[in-house]
Amino acid sequence: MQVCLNGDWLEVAVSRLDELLRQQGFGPAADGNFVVAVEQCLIQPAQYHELELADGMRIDVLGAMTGG
Amino acid sequence: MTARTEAEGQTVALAGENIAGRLWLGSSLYPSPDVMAQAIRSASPGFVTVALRRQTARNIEDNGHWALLQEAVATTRARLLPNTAGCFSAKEAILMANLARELFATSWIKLEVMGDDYSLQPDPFELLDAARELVSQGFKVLPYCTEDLVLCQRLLDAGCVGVMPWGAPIGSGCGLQNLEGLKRLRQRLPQAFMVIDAGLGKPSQAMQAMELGFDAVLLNTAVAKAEQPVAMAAAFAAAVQGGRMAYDAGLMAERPQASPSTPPVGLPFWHQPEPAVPHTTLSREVNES
Repeated sequence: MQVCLNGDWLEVAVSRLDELLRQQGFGPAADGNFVVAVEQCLIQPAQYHELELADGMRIDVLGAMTGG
Repeated sequence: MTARTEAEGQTVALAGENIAGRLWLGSSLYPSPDVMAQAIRSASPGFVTVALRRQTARNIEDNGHWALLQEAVATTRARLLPNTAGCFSAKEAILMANLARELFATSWIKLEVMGDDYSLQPDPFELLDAARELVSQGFKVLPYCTEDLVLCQRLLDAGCVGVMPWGAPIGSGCGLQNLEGLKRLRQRLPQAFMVIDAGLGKPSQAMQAMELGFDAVLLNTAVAKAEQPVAMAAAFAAAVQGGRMAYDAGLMAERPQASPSTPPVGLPFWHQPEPAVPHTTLSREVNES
């Protein structure tokens, strides 16, 4: 299965969003410092373990950035 | 619309909350995270703007800017004001605002929807659509807009807590390019909370905006790209304070002709006919006798 994470296509072996995030290094140290959108919809942290990945799914992980 | 100023100091009441200052500062473009943090402390702004972007796990864990920004905001009374910079449609801006509310735990949003990627001029139609939706979702919306009177009125009617007309294109440093338009906007919407956002390059331009009666100014590049950003942040803070004090004190009315500040009445030759003997000659004769 392939998903698009932050614009890059990845071949993934995991099936849920929380597993993908952990695999990509978003561990406890990053908790609260990022947000996730799937197919341009905000996903609440409580839903990460419920969300089943699907082939072609587009996922964005965003964090704080300086801005004007 | 729920905004008005408090007379005391530089505190501003907006949407039922007290905002600590009338200078609002961006967090971008500084030479280093440390300089950014020092500039924030130096300016003691009411808001500090932030953004959000795609990040890797490593970026998030080693985000020095974000760590120092949080620290600087915590040591001042500033609040975070997330923006929707980079969005070109209402749909994008609405998503970005929701992501920002989740990440930064605030309902304040600086709503930006660009219409032209060269001038960074806002798209008024998408902006208004986004504002209506975000207000309905409980956001405190501060839209970055032009000085168009009708657009500003519509944004306020939609429930925005204020409007933020540009002084000049973002990052240009040109100051208040449409001075007459901004004056008319302020005069026509006297109860509206208005922030001059973008295009300011000098403290004197920020002071001018405050003297016109705008409630605050938001700037970034003028401080971040100064030779000494920390000193420039202090200069802008002083200018904003001085401009507001001048506005509160009530500026004199301009007049097209000169008017003497020392009254002419009481001068010994006020409305007297020309003497037959020049007074200089007369005084010499008196001295000789």
